[in-house]
Amino acid sequence: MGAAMEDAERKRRIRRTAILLALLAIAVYVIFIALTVMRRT
Amino acid sequence: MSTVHTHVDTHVHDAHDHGPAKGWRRWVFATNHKDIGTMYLLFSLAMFFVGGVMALIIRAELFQPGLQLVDPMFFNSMTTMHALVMIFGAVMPAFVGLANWMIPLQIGAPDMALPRMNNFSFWILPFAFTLLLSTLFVEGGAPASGWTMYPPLSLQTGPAFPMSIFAIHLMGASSIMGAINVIVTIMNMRAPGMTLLKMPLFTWGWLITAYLIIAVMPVLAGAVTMLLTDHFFGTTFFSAAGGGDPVMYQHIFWFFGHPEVYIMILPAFGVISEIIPTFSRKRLFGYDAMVYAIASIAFLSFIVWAHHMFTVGMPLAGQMFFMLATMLIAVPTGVKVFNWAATMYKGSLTFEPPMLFALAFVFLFTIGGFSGLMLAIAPADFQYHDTYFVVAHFHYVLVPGAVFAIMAAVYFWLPKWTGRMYNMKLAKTHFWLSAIFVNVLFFPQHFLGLAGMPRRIPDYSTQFADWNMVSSIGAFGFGFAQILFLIVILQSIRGRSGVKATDKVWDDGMPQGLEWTLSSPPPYHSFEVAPEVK
Amino acid sequence: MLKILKYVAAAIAAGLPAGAAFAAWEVNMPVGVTELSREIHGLHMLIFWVCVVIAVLVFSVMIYSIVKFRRSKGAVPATWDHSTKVEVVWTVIPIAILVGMAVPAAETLIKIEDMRDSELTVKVTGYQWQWHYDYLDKGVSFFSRLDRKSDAARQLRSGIDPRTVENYLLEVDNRFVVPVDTKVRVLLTSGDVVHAWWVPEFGLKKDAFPGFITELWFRATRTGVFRGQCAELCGYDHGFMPIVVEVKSKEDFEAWLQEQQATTGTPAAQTAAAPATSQLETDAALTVARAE
Repeated sequence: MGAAMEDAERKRRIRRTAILLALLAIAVYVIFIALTVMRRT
Repeated sequence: MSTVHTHVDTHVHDAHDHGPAKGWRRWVFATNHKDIGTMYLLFSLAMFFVGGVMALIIRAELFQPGLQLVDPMFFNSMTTMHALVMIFGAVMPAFVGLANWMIPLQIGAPDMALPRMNNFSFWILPFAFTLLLSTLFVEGGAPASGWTMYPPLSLQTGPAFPMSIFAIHLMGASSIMGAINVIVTIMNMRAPGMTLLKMPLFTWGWLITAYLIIAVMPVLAGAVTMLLTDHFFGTTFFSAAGGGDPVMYQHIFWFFGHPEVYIMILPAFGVISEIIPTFSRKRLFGYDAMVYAIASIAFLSFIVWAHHMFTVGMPLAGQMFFMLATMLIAVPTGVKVFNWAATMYKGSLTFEPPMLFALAFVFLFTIGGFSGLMLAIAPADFQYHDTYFVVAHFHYVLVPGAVFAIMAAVYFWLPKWTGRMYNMKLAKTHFWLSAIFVNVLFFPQHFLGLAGMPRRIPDYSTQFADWNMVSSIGAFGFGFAQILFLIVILQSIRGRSGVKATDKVWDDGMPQGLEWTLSSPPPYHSFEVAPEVK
Repeated sequence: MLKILKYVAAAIAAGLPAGAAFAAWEVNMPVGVTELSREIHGLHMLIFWVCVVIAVLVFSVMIYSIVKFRRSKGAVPATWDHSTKVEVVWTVIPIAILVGMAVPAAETLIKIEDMRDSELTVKVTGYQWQWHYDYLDKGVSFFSRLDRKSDAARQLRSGIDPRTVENYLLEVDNRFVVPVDTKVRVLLTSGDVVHAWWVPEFGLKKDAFPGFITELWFRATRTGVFRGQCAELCGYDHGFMPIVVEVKSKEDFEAWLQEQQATTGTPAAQTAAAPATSQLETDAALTVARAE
C-alpha cells in the first residue's frame, strides 16, 4: 500500500470503496424497513 | 524520502492550489479538510451553547417544586430538543470536525479522500438545524415526545413532526457521508509505511466509529420513515390497531441508539489515548489491546440494545441474554481504563489543560461506567429505568465523558491549528470550574433517581427539592464556565494570546505522530508529498 | 466523594432558607415492602459495593501516579509499554466478577418473571393522564387521578407553595387498594400512548402499551400507603399521573371490596371525565393482543 500505489489506481479504489459503503448504508435502510413489513404480515 | 513518487492529490487540481480562496468563497465552496474541520468545530460550538441554553431552561424550572417558568409541553420540548441538538448538533459534528482536521495529518494524507462530499456533508447541517430549531415557532411547538420519539406519543406531534423527521434524515445523511469519507480516507490515503497497527488511536477510534455510523444511521432513518408513513400514509407499523407493534419501534430505535452512544465515545477514547501518553512522556500502555478493546466494544454494541427497554415485557430468555451481553462490555472498557492508568504509572506527568481534561475524563467516565454496570443488572434496572439515575449515568459518560474529551482535544490541538499558544491560566480556570460544577450538577441526580424521581418531569414532589436545587446550581455554574472556553478559543483564533507555538507545541518532543512534524499552523496544503513512516 | 459532596450540597442549601426548611437528603433506593424489592435492593447494594472496590483500586493507582510521578518532582519516565501477563489478569478478573454478579441477578430475574399462583388479578390501564384499575371478576373498577389540591398547586404560576400541599403530586382521588401478604398480579395496558407503572417500594416498573398486555406481580408484606408515578414520558401531564397503592389487611380489603361492590363498583372517580369510548377500544384491541 502507499508509495507503490499509482494515482489512477488510488482514485479507482477510493471511488469503489465509497460506492460500496454508500450501497451498504442504503441496504441497511431497506432491510430494516423490509424486516418490519415482513414481521407484520 | 527514499522512494520517488509523484504526489498524490485526489482532489482535482483547481486553479488555486496554494492558499485559500478569498472571502466567503473560501467557506461556502470549501474543499480543504482544515477549513471544513474548522467549520464543523465552530458549528458544534454554536450548537453546544444552543443546547446548553435549553438545558438551563430545564434546570431553572426544576430549581424548585411547582411550575414557575414554562408549561409542561414546552418543558418536554426542551428535553427533546436539548438531546437532539447536543447529540446530533454538538457532539457528533465536533468529532467529525476533529476527524477532518486530524485524520489527514495523522496518516500523512494531503486531504480527505472525497473533498466535495466533505463540503456537502457539512453544509447540510446548518439547514438541518435551522429546520429543527424552527419547529420551536410552529403551531403546537417543537417535538415534545423525547429524542427517542416513541410512538404512539410522537404521532401526537403537530406540524413539527414532519419537520423534525426531515431534519433527522438530513443529519443522518450528513453523518453517513462524513463516515464514508473517513473510511475511504483511512483505507486509501495512508502514507507509505503507515500500516493499520501504526495508526494513532484517534484515527483508529474514528475508523471503527465510521463503520458504526454507516451500520446504524440508516436504521434510525428507517425507523423515522416508518413513523412518518404511520402518521401521514395510513401504515400501521407501530400501531396494534392495524397489526403493528409499538415495541418494535423501540427495538429498531435502540438497535440504532446503542451503537450511537459508542459513536459518541469511541473517538473520545482515541483522543484520551493520544493525550495521556503525551503528558506522561511515556508510550501508551498496550496499544494493540486498546485497538482490540475499541473493536470489541463496537461489536458488542450491536447485541445489547434491549437493555434500554428491559421494562417492555420481553421474554425471560431475552432479558437474560441482554443482561449478560451488556455486562460483558465492562471487560473491554475496563481494559481501556486500566491501560490509561498503567500509561501514567511510572511516567513523568505534567498537567496542562488537555491533560487535566483527560484525567477528569478517566475518573468521571469511569463513574459513568460503574452506573452503567449497575443499570445492566436487569432486576435492578426495573428500579433505575426512566429515573434520574439513568439521567445521571448517561450525562456522566457524555459530559465529563465525550464533551470533556472534545475539550481536551481542542486544548491539545488548538495551538497546532492556530499557530499560537492559548491563555493557559484561563483554560485551567475553565477546567476547574467545569470539573467541579459538572459533579455538583450530575452527582446528585444519582440520589434523585434512587429516591424515586422519574425523568422527563417538569415538576416533582417536595421530597426531591433539595438535590434538585443543588443540581440546578451546578448546571448554572457549569453553563457559565463554558463562556471561558469560548473566550480562550476566540483569543487564540484572533492571535491575541500567548506566544507562537512550536511545531511540537508541547515540550520534550513527546507528542508522537505525523501532525507534529508539520509547522504550527500547518500549511494550507499539507503532506502534498507523502511522508514516509518507519 | 459522596460524603464530601453531601456536605458541600448541604452547605449551599443551608444558605437558602427554602432548602434548609425541607431537608430530605435521600441518597439511596428504598428497601421496599415486597420480597422482590428486598432482593432487588440487595442486588443494587452488591453491585454498588463491587463498583466501589474496583473504583478504590483503580483510582488509587491513578492518584498515586498523579502525586508520585510528576515531572516537577523529577520523575523519569519508564520505557516499557506493555505486559501481556498484566493484561491477561485484568481481563480475566473482571470476567470472574461479572459471572459472580450474573448468578444472583439471574435468580432474581427468574422470580420476577414467575407469574404463577397469583391470588388477585387487577387490570391497570394507563390513559393520558390517569390510571384505571379493574379488579377482574370482582366487578370493581375505577379511575385514579391526581388529587385536587396537588392539581391546583401544580398549575403554572399557581401562587400556591407546593410545600404546603401534603404529598404534593403523589396523592390521588381513588387509591389502588390491595390486601397484604397476597400475590397480586397486575395486567398492564394502555388506552393511548405508552405509560409505565411504577411503585418504588414494590421494586418494579413495567411499561403499558396500547393493544398489548404486560404483567408484573408483587406481594406486599406490610400494610401502608405506597406512592409512585408514571415512568414513561406520555405527553403534557406525564409528571402528573401518580400511583398510590394502599395495602390493607385481608379483612379490611374484603370489607373495602364489598363496600365498592355495593356502590355498583364505581366510586366517585367515575364522575371525572372518563374516556369511556377509548376504554372500549382498548378492550377490543386487547382481544387481538399477542399470546405471550
